Amino acid sequence: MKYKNFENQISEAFRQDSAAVDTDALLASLGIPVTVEKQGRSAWWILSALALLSLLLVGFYCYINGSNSSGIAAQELVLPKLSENTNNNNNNSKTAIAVSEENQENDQSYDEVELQSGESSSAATVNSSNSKNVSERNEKVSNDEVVKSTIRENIEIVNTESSPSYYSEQQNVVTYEQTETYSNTSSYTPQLNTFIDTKQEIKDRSVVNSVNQSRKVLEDIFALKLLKSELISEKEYPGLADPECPSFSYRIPWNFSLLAEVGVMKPMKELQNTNPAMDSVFALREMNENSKEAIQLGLHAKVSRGSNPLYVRGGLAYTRIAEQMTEEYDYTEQDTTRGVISITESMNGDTITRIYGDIISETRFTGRTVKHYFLHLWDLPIAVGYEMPVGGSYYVGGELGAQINFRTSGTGFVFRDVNDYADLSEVTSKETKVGMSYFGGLHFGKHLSKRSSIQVSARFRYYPSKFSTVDPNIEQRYNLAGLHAGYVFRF
Amino acid sequence: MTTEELIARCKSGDAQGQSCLVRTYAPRLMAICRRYTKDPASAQDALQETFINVFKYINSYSGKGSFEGWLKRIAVNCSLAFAKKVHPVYFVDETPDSALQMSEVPDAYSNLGKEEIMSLMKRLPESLYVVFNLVVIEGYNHREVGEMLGITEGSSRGSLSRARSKLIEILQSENSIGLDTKKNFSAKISALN
Repeated sequence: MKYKNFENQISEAFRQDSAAVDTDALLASLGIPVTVEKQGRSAWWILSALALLSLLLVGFYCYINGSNSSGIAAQELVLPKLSENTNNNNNNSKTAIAVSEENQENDQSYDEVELQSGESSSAATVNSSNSKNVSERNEKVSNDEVVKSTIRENIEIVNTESSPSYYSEQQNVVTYEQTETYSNTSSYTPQLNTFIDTKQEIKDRSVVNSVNQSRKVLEDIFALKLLKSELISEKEYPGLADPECPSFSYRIPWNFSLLAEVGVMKPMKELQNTNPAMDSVFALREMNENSKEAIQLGLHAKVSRGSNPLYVRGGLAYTRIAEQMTEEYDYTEQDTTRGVISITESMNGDTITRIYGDIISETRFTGRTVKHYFLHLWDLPIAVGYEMPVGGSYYVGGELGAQINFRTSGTGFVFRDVNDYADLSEVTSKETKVGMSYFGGLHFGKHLSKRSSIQVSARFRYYPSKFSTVDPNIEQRYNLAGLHAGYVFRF
Repeated sequence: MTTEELIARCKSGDAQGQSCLVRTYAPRLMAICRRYTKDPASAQDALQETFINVFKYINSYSGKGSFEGWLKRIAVNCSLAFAKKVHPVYFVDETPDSALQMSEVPDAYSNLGKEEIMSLMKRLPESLYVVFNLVVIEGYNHREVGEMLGITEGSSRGSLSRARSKLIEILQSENSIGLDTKKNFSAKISALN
């Protein structure tokens, strides 16, 4: 066997040689977890989904509130009347107190009140011994309802028996204006809205008696009610809370709108080299690589409150930055075939040495190559803005915000060395993130209808972090400036 | 997972990618480390150092050439660095002898296994053994060997030539004492070790 074949045998034997290794121990010594959970991406997606869900919920909530705003407006309109009535009610309470005091001076006590209606067939006896025995108060409440119904009947009788000419006798005029509202616990929550407006002049004595009787009944009822309020307010009966007047509050509606926009921006790129060994590549990239344009698409939810000019918006944005590399190359490649030294032995035993010289061939390459690559950025923008009308249907505004990048990827070919381009879709990791960027801008818009408007924005976006496309030694950073056109739809 | 994906994940510092890379390439790199170090413990240290350097410099891997070749180069360099610490190797300039290529090797050595070849090669002096390994087994050219070992290209050629003649001497001496079968040769090698 020739020695050369023996060497081939050796190299073949070791070509795919492998040895047993305890990889777990090796991984542990390298500080790499032996079992690695899939991390990062899932957490990002879950967070993004939660953020979007929250935005949708907020939007839906605002939408629901917005649709109820008409009802709220109605309440708002009613509110002044109610307050007027409340004032009247206070006045009437005072009247009732005065009447009750008068009754106390006479022969009537609150312990037992007998109410009789002379003219009417109906009569009711009210036993209000509540001041002594509070446990019977529920019964009194029911009695009170009976009395109220009696009063209503008496008032009807008075109304039917009265005529406008009776106004001449001022001393017999009975005037009650009453509007009462109760909103209380389940034990006592009747809402009594009784409006009595009686102004009559009574000539006939029997009629006067009847009116007096009715008046007396009314006075007793008001006195009774006052007593009841006092009883309810006693703290030793926790089941019965103080009667409270209804409270009304004006709820400021939330405004919810969607903003869809598209923009064209000019990328302002900065390249930085951290490794002197990459100077030539860096110089070529800096000289020949040009940023073309960046396009941005976004869908945002915008929330404001009432007529407040401040708003908050958040959503999802996609940005694509295009780069172009133009390479004009001119270089020479030299191939050398080494000389061969041949040593042979002559017939007479002499050694004959022949040397064949090197063969050198040169090839010159010239040409021009244009390659593009694109950076795709997915962000979650959030911004705070201020918007104000400027006359007619026009408005202007400004905003400041931040964009959280959750995914960056690349496609196309990026310059790596002379006549050598790396396919970004293969070398860029899908987990690459640029981090946080910041933006600010001004916009000008026009309302097309009650629900829709269009706007144009001038915006500047700043990326504080640097990133690398292929070579980690060459870092690139971007600032973007451009215009956006958007359509706003209000719910 | 393709090699490109594996590289990309390792570049981004993904632990799962790093783990996958270690599990895929560790056995082959261990074999290299074993060839250049004296004992298994040193080989393990060299392998660990290899992967530390791989993860440290993976971002500088440009994609040119085979990835496995790049890993092997790091493994060889780390192993040599370890071997140098233990036994410094000195190289001397020697004149290459191209006539050795034409020499005959007894047919008894035509079907040797890996262990037997290794036992045979281990009998070479350290400096010759290293050069022989690098050129014949790893397939590096003399310029690359010179760069790795810090010697001239000519010195590398000379060392290889000397290794070859030494190996032939060993084979011929083994053959002359009657080792004409693979079995006997293996037994003899074992006895010598």
